[in-house]
Amino acid sequence: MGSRLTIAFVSVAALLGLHTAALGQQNPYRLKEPDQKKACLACHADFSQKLKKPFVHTPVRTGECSGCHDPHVSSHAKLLSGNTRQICAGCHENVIPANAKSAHKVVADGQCEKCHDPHAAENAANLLAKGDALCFGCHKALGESVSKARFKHSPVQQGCLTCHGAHGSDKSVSLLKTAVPAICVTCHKPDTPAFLARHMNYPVAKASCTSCHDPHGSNQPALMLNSVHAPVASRTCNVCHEAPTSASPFATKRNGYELCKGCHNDMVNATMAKGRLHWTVADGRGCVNCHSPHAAKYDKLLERNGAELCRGCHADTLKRIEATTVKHAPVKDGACVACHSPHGSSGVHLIDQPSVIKLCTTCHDYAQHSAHPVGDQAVDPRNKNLRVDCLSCHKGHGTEYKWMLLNATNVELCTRCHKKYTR
Amino acid sequence: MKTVSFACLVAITLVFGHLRLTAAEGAKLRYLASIYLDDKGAGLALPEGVACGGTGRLVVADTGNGRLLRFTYQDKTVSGGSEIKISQLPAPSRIQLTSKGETLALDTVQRRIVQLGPDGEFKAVLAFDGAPAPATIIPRSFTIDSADNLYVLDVFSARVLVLNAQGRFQRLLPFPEGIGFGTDLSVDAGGTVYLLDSIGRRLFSAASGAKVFTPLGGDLTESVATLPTYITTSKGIIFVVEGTGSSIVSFGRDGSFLSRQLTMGWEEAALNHPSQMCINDKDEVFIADRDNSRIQVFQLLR
Repeated sequence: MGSRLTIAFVSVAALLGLHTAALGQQNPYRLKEPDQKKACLACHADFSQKLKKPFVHTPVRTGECSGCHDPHVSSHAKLLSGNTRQICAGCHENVIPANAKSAHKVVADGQCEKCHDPHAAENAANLLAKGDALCFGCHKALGESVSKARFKHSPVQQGCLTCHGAHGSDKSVSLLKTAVPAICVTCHKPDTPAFLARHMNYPVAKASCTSCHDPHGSNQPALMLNSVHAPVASRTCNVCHEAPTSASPFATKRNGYELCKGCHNDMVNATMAKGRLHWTVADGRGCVNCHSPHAAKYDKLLERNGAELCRGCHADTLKRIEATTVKHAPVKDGACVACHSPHGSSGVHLIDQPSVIKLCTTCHDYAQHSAHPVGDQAVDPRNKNLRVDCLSCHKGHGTEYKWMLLNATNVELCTRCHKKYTR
Repeated sequence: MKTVSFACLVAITLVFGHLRLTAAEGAKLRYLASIYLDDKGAGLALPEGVACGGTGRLVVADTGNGRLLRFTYQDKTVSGGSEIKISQLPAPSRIQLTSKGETLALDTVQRRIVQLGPDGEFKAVLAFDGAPAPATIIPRSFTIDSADNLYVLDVFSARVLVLNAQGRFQRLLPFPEGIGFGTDLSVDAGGTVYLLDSIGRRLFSAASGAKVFTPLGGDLTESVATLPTYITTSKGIIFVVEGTGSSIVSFGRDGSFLSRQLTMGWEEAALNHPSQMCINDKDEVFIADRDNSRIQVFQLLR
């Protein structure tokens, strides 16, 4: 009897203990208001409206505010318990696939909130906007060109996510779900007679469709890129390439600039006669380092626009320029070619003028400037082989000082040369 | 006894501390002199090349004036400055001196290598005898080894052509896959060829007899901030010349960063878009300080 009573007593005590522990787990911090959601909303009352939105983030819906926020103190804004990358990755692992060939920059940077509302939203997946409107919020230029394109590509009309992943891709660059040309031939059948005839019987199913066509839409028929190389427009591919029936139909008949010289003879000869060559002109790729051989979005078949083209090799220069506060106007506009000759030049720094002064005075009237002597007669006091010119005081790309001067004050600037006045 | 032990400990610490400091600094340059004028008092203009040999021999490619200048640098003193101006070499840039006292010069306009005799007389244009196709060869740079074999960086076909002292083709080294742009090359006393990738900011090397280049060290972006233009080697140290950054960056044989020397400026001991540099057997360093239109001389402190 006694032992039965003891067992019953122990069982009741154990059950009570478990119940108390469960209550403790439900309210581990012994909050006055045990319901965390209610506790937070007591102050953050405006949040109640937000929670009425159709798509509410799970931890918000379940009242686990402390899943992301520290209720007491934090080193991060909004009392977040970590940076957004850490917090989001806590639940949403592997958003960017392992061995990704491309990743959306905002995702890689952990800026999930650029697309998703962490609390609640009107759109599925808590997206800040619906469909392409979200993408074109950042990719404005693309959005404009898509809407203005005379000839539209139907997958684009269906939405960016038809072809692109939102976070990353382990298949291709540009977040493509499948690489070009495989993604193209899912709709376009390259073995049909009409397709073959349009492509002069070249086996383009193995080529890069986007070297001629703009997948986002174009003002040219057949979605051709805006600027088309004449042999492509006239469908005379064999001007540059081997015959379509050859073993290597895409091989070019010559290498580098020698191929282009066949038509652009004068230009190539003039370039190669320059004292200083932009060396990329002379390597195995030659002209196609900068120009697309088939078609391009930009004039002169340029692969990219303005300084973005130069950035491919001269990223360090552009980075320094971006750090300056006072920039030369052409630099600000990305017009490197306003001063530098992109193929070659007679002078250093690919400047195709006899002197720096000649270059600067093509835009600036030195007579309106000041009385400081410059030119052949003005010997630089620091070096008898140098002459005072515009770059003795100004920096061509820009500086952090007014008028792109080399120093903040006149005293500092002038005493670079007039050292006897240095205090 | 304790005092003696303590003194020994201090001495050892100081000695090893000093050695470590020296090794970390790697290669320090102390300014010695500048060369501004030829023997007739005419100034240099945008010199892009400089080569130094035994007995103080020094040849400068005075590119802006379309000529070579011959100097002597002995006992820390510059002398000479006689001009060599020949029609076959209108715009000399990089130059090398052979063991026979000849000068090899790369012409920037005609993009060919011109051979001059010991007295500066024109001898020949390098014909690349026996070199494999294509026939078009565009030398961006070249160097020679102690046996006067030539190593020519052919940018057109992304390869290094190795020729013997007579200019006859021996072998080729293709540029490594994925190289940004092969800008310059150097060969050390052991025959290892070093290739500088200016865009990819990497070094590659091919040991004597190797058929391919392999990466040497890692990404140079942290140590080489701007486009590097020139590379040379001396007694186990690799020197990379930064054009825009106007600095000399040195690396160990394994590609590890050693030091960064000099800075951009107009004053002596500063550089402005330097081009070629050479180091003689006395560790005297000559730098073609192009945009300052002068040659600067430094003492290399190892």
